[in-house]
Amino acid sequence: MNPATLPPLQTPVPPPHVPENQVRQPLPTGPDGQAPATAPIAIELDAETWKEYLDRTAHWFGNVQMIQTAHRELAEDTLGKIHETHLRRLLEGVVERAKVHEQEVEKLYRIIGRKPSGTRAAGGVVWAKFREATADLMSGLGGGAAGGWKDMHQLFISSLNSISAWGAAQELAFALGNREIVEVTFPVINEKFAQHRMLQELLMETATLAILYRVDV
Amino acid sequence: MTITEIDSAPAMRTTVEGLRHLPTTARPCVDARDVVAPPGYTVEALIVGLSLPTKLEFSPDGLLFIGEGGSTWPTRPAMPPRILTYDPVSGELEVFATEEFAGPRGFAFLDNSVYVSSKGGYRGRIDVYDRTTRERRTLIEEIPSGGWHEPGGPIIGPHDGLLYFGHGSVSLNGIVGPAGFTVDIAKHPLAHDVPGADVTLTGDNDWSRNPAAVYPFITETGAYKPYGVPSQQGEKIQGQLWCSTGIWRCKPDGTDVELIAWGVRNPWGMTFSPDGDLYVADLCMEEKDPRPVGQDPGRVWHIKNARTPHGSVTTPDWYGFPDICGDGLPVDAPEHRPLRGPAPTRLLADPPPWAGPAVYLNEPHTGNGSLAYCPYEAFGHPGKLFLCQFGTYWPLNSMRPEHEHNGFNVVAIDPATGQSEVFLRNQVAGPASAHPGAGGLERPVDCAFSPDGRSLYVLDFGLNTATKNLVVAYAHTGVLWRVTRQ
Repeated sequence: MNPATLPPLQTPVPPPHVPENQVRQPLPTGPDGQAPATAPIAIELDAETWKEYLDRTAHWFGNVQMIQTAHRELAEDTLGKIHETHLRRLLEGVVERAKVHEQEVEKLYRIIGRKPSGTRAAGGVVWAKFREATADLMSGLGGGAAGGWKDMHQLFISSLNSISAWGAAQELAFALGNREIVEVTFPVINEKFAQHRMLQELLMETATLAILYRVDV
Repeated sequence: MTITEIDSAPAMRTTVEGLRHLPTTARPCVDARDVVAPPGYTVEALIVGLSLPTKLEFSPDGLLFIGEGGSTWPTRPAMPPRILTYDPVSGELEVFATEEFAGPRGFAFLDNSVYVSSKGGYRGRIDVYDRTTRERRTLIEEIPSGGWHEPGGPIIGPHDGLLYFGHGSVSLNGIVGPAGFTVDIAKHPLAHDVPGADVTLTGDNDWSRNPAAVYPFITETGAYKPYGVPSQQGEKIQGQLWCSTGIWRCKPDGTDVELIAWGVRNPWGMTFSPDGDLYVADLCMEEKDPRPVGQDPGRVWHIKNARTPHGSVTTPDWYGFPDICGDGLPVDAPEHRPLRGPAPTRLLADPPPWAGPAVYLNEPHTGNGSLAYCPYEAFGHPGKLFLCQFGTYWPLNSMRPEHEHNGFNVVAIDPATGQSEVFLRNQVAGPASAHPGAGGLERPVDCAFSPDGRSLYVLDFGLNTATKNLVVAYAHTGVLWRVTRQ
C-alpha cells in the first residue's frame, strides 16, 4: 500500500466534512457595478459559474461511476474464471475493494450536493460485458490465450481506466478548492495504483502459461 | 478553444461578509481582520478566487498585472495560465492574455511593451506583448528549464534600461531525482542542469529507484546530467551562456545577452533599488532526496555585477549552487548534515570563487517568495526590501519541528544590515488553514507597491499544503491583499 497520506490541516482538527444538508452554497449572483467599485471581487465563484463547474464535475463523476461499475463487474466475472488458488485470493481482494470504491462514488456526488446516476451505473454493467466480449474476440482472432487470462488482461486495462477516471475527479477537486472530495479520492487512487501493479505482475507472470502452454490459470 | 484563447474570467463583486462564505471548502473564509499589520496600516482583501497566482506587478500607468501560474507547485492541477489586469481605481478586472501551458511567472514594462517570463517545456522563455494590440511574440526561448525551479524577473534596470531575468535549477539539490517526477522525469526526462562556467566534476553520483521504469530499477545519476546518466570523476563540463541558475541581462530587443551571475538556486524574486542595486531572493536546498542538505538558510543576494557596464562581465559571479549553502559553508560541512539520507558530498572539484555573503539570511525552509524594494516615504520603511515568506513545506522538505511555522508572512529587510522585522502576519503563526475558522494569509508569494507609494499589494498563492510524502495545491483559493498606510 502506498504510504502517502493526504495533507492534513496543520493543527490536529477533524477533517472538514460537509454534511449533505449543509453543502456550501455559491456566492449570490449580482451584476457587476451593483456594489461599489472598491468592493472585493470573486473570480469564478459566482453562483452561475460555480453551478456550471459543479454540473460538469457531476457529469464526470458519472463517468467515474460507470467505469468503476464496469471494473467491479469485470473483476467479479474474471474471478469466476480463474482456478489457481493464489491468483484467486489476490483477485478476491480486487473484487472486494472494487465494491468499496463503487460505493465511494456516491460520496463524491453527495459532497457537491448531487445525486448518483443510476443510468451510468447500468452503463457500467453493459461496458463490462463488452470488455469480456472483446477478450473472447481477441482469443478467437488468433491472439490465443487460455481461459481466464484474457479476462485478466481486460481487467488490467479496466484498472488503468478506473485509475484515470478517479484521478481526473481528484484534479477537479483541486481545481474547485474542495478538500472533501480529495479526502475520498486520494485513498482510492493510492489503493488502485497498488492493485494495478499487482495485476500487472499477475498478468506478466502468467502470460507464458496462458499463451505458450495454453494453461487455464 | 485552445488555452491561449481563454479570454475571460467570470467575476462578481461581493462584500466583506461574502468573503467569509466562499464555496471553496479548502479556503471557505477570507477575512482581513485575521491579518496583522503594524499600527497605522489597514488590510483589505481585494480579490478572491485566484487560481495558483504567482506574480504581480504595476505598470507605470497604475494597472496591476497579476499572473495566474497555470501549472505550478505541484504541477497539478493545470489551470488557465491567465494574465489579469486590475485597476485599483475603477476596480475593473480583465483578462489581458492567456499564456501557453505552464504559465506566466513575471512582468516588466517598457514603453508599450509587457515582458513576461514563462515556464513550460524544456525551455523557459521571455514573451513580449504589445499593450495595445496584445499581440505576443517570443523574445527569448533558450533558457534551460523543464525541471524543478522557476524563472526570475523580468525586471528593467532603472540605471541602464536593460532587461534582467533569471532561472532556477532543473534539479532539486544538484542531481535530478525521483522527487521531481511530475516536473522533470515524467515530462522532461532529458532535462538537466547546465553550468554557467567551465567546471570539473567530482563524479559523486546519486543512486535512486527509477519511477519511470517498468520496475523501479536502481539508477545512477550525476550532476549536470539527465536522470539516469552518471558523471565521471574529473569530467569537464563546458559552461554555457544559457545555463541553469543564471541571471542575465540584455537589451530590450533581446540582443546582447550577458550572463552576470550563476549558482542562484531559484532566483524567484528580483527587485532593483532606484539607483541600480539588484537584489534576488533565493530558496534553500531541501532536506530530502536526492542529496539532502540540512539547515540551508534562505537568502537574498546582492547581484553586484548588475552595477557594471553592459558587456563588461567576462566571468559571471557564482553564488554557490550546488555546493555552497546560503551561509557560505559547503554542503558537506557538519552544520549541513541532514537528518535523513546520506550526508551530501560536493559535486564540483574546482568551484569558482563564492560571490557571497548574502545580504539577508532567514531560517531554513521559510520558503522565500518574491520581494519588492520600497522607495516610498509615504508607505514608510523606505529603502527596505519587502520579502514575501511563502512558508515552509514542513514536514516534506524538512522534518525538524522548529521549521513547522516558518514563513507565512511578509518581512521588511534592511539590506544594509541584514536585519528584518515581520511586517504582515496572521494572528496566530502558520497559514490560516492551520486554524479552522481563520481567514488570514495562506502563502504570500509576491508583493508590489502602488505607484502612489501608499499601498503594498500582497499576492497570496492560496492553499498549498504538505505532508511527509507530498504537497498539494487548491485552485480558486488565491487572494490579492492590499495594505495601506493611513
